[in-house]
Amino acid sequence: MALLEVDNLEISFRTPEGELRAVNGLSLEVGAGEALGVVGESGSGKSQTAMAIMGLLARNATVRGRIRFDGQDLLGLKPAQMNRIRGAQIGMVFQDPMTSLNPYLTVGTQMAEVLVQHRGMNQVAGLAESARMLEAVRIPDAARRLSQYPHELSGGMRQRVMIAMTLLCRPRLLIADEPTTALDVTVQAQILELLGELRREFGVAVMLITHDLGIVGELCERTLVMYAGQLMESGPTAQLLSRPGHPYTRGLLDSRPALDSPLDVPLAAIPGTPPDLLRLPPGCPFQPRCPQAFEACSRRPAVVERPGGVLRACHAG
Amino acid sequence: MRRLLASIPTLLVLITLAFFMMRIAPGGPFDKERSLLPEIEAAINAAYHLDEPLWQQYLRYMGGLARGDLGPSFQYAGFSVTELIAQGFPVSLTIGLLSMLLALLVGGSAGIWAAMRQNRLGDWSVMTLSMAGISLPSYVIAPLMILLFAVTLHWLPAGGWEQGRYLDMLMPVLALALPQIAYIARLMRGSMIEVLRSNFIRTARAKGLPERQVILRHALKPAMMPILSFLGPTAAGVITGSVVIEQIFGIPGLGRYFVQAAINRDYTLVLGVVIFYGLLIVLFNFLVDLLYGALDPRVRVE
Repeated sequence: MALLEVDNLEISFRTPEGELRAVNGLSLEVGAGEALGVVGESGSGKSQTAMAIMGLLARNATVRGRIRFDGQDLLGLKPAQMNRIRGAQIGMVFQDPMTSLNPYLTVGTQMAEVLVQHRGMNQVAGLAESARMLEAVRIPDAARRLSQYPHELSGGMRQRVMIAMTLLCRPRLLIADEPTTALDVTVQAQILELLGELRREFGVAVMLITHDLGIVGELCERTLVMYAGQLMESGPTAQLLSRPGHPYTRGLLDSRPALDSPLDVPLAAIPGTPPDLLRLPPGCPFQPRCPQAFEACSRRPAVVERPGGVLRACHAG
Repeated sequence: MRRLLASIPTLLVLITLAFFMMRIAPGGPFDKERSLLPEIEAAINAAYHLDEPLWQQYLRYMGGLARGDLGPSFQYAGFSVTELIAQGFPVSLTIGLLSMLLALLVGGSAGIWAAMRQNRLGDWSVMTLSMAGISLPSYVIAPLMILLFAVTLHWLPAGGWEQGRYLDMLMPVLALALPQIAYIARLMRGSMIEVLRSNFIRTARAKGLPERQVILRHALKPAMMPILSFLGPTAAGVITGSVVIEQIFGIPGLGRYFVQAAINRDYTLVLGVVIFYGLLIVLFNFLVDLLYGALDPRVRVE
């Protein structure tokens, strides 16, 4: 049994324009200690999947399907029960470190309260443990940082604080939603490296959400490519990157700039735009943009297992 | 400190404007239905320097002001303006502070409560009530309260003010607080809803903190900011006395002096109260700035 099992997840939002279907029958698994990359464009439903796991979806959301963590059905839990899992067993790091920390509270206050809440520590013990965790995420002069406010720290430093904060209770799963997107390129690399090291150090499973296929290669054994709230393809990262089977995965790879690509050749882009989630076509959502589309694609393709542990939803094979 | 000094020109403009506007108004402090003997009138005018050219009176007044002298009242013979303010202000201050405190507690909690139930029944009821509270003027609410609590139920005195009689305070404080409660509730609801949408609240929830702690520890401080800026000038206005409330309940506060002074053309008393009010507004805005700094660490660096 995997640590996290998402089964046939559907998330939709009631909006004035109609029902917005963000996630449509997504299934995924993350094993203990494993790192899974979830890749997709904005609006592909990857962040909403994470929010559903955390129980943090907006109030106008409807969730169907099943999310099991450590054998426990998360969707059936009461808020108080969910609060014992959030922050303790599942931690989440968000995209924007500039706004994700409370500007009105010191780093120490924000960190220690997690331990006070979940571990029943007192403030002093909580601060001491927080300082140790700041050192673990390679923040020098940790004791001084505790008394500082977020605005006194750089973006990379804040993201380190966020990561340290989520690790305080030694969670078994860390969800990182675009953790490096808002950061400088050099800082991005440092944060990714840190995540990799911490994963080994703490034995924590990671679900890394990103739009950048380049990032998953560095951290994740397995990768899942999402489009319009559906699984397109998933499998071992190395295989997906070297031999992408789904036209969408291939399109993502081709539209990635390489350092050695000639400057006069324009970047390849996938033509067209993602489908309107208010009016999802019945067939394969990628069909309108797919270079290989044929008649069968007007029916929704089933997710089929391929050799090498690859799952793919494509009529083209 | 620099901010306080910077407000001196503002106050000077305020005093000058008030001085000349008061003089433009027809009539004078000693006009009565029966006109005085010319000799007596001349003697009075000379005694209060009203026979001098206006600019000279202005300079004389400003000179006195520089020495902290607000001059004698024209109406209350034998009383200086300072004495009158010292007499009326504590009464207005007591009622004003109590009602602001009440407004902050009740309005603030109602606003938070409504924000947590956004667009649901509880929210709608609080907002409807507060809309009524804002729309109903105090000269409607106060007599209605007297009718109910004093005339019909005999629970509370209909008015009056005796030292140490707390029952006297109850209705005026409540009547003064009601519109503020309503206003603060709306303000708090809007600001709390905004804060609850921010990323750091999402983080707080992701940490598994109970909702109470998310609200009280993480959302309350930022949500207080708009209320703080509202509080400065409002508190200054409320504690200098509400004309209507003090009149209806027969409370000897500053507000009542102010109106009567304006009607009587008691030049010095009007000016004195205007200056006092101006000073309080400056002071309260300064206090609000200090509080901003105390609440928001990003403001503290100056």
